[in-house]
Amino acid sequence: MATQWTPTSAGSGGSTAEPEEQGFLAGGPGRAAEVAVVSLVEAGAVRISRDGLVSAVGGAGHGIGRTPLQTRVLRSLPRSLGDVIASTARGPEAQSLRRHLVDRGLVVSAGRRKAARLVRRLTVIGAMVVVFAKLALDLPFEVAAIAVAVALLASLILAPSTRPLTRAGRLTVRRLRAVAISPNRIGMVAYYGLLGKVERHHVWEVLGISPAAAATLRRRSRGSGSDGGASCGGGCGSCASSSCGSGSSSSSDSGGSSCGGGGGCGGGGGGD
Amino acid sequence: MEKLGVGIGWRPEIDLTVERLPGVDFVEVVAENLHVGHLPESLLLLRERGVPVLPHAVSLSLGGAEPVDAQRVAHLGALAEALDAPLVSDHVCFVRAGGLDSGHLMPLPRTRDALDVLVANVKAAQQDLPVPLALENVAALLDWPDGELTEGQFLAELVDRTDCHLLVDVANLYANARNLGTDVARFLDEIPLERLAYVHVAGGEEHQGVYHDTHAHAVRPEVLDVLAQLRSRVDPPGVLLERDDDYPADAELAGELAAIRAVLG
Repeated sequence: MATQWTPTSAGSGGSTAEPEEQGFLAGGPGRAAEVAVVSLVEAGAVRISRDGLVSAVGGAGHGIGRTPLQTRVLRSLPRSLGDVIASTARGPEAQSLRRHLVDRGLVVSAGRRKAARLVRRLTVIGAMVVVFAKLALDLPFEVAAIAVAVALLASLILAPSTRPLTRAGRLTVRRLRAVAISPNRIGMVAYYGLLGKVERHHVWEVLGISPAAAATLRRRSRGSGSDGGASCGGGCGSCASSSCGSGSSSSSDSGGSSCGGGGGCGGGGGGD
Repeated sequence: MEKLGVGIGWRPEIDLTVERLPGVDFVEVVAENLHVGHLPESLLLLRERGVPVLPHAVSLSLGGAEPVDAQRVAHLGALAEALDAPLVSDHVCFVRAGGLDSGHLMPLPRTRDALDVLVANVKAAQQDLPVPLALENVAALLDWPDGELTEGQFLAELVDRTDCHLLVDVANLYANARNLGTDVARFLDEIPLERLAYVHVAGGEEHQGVYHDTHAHAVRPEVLDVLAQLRSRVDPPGVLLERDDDYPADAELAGELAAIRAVLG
């Protein structure tokens, strides 16, 4: 089974992002898995029953031109929609996609985020120590002021590295938002997620998926299952709030969101 | 027998496909897969549209030496009532013996003794069923020795003695012709076609010189030829496409239904 994302296997290249990449950027590996399933449905390669059983369509050429995520989906069938998406999101193909996006400069690597957070914390602690020293040891005011200023500056410089997406990644999500409208069904899934809403309708409704099938999808709680914050998927996307699926402006470069944006509705991300 | 038209076997995996396919006049469901109290939404929707839903059993084992399981018959009858079905069906076969379940529709020895057992069981089942019972010819990979009747004669006597209806599976008939040398024309001449309830059509494949009625492959032209031979003798009340695995695209299923309609004229 192909698990490595290459320009050939994913069809990616240049500055544009493929639908699964867009989904990953907007909602993490669960969203990418949703895109993989829905794109297979759109291609006539799988069907979803009323109860949410996803099954392969016979004679649909399952090995031809499929992405690694799609291949994994096809190999796991028949299975319920929620299980397919959760297991695909946890699979090595999703991790490979994340590394591919890191290599493309769209996602901040887990190591870099961790290091940036650590340095920020140390800087703040250092500044606090200096302030304490100023009060206790009667250090010159200028020394304390410079130390605090350095800490603030370092914190600002490191801030982007603590977010899951790079500036380019956030811009990609922002561009996706502009096209995630009907009839771009896959774009809607990538940006809002199946449990997200478009014009007061859940995306699964717009796609013609039955309520029973949608009920198999699992909502992700904020931060649940994040694999060390390696991607935006773990922290973006609780659908519990009323803002879910509204296409919030959290994709703004200056925003403090932990996620690139999107509706924030994971819709069964499970494994992120 | 009431006119049914052209239909398809309803299966959970293709429920939405069946709902969407144009020109589906009736459907058939595997009785053992349903619970009367929890009928699938799709079937209820089809019933609301007025599409007949016919329960088709696979486990009554009417040709078995053991008495018919009253609970299985009761389930079939309850399902018929819940779905307001005009009739129910099972097979001319046995599936259990000596406490073992074969997992297959086993052919019966075509002897008068076996026929007596079958007739007794069918009559017992009919007493507890609220609607008429139709019985289907099975595909066999062997003929038991010392047969006294042809398959057509066996079915004709069964109908004569029980007043049951017939469900003729032309794919099974084709399989028996290929594998056992059954004479299709003679079979069709011998069975009482006026008691025909409907017809099954299904796909299969040849493996190592043996034709297997898989229900997982496309319908072969030879099977449609058998349907044409039947059609030349009678206008069947209904013809149903069976597909149980490796479900193809909606368009392919629609094409197979169209091919059936073309044969019926």
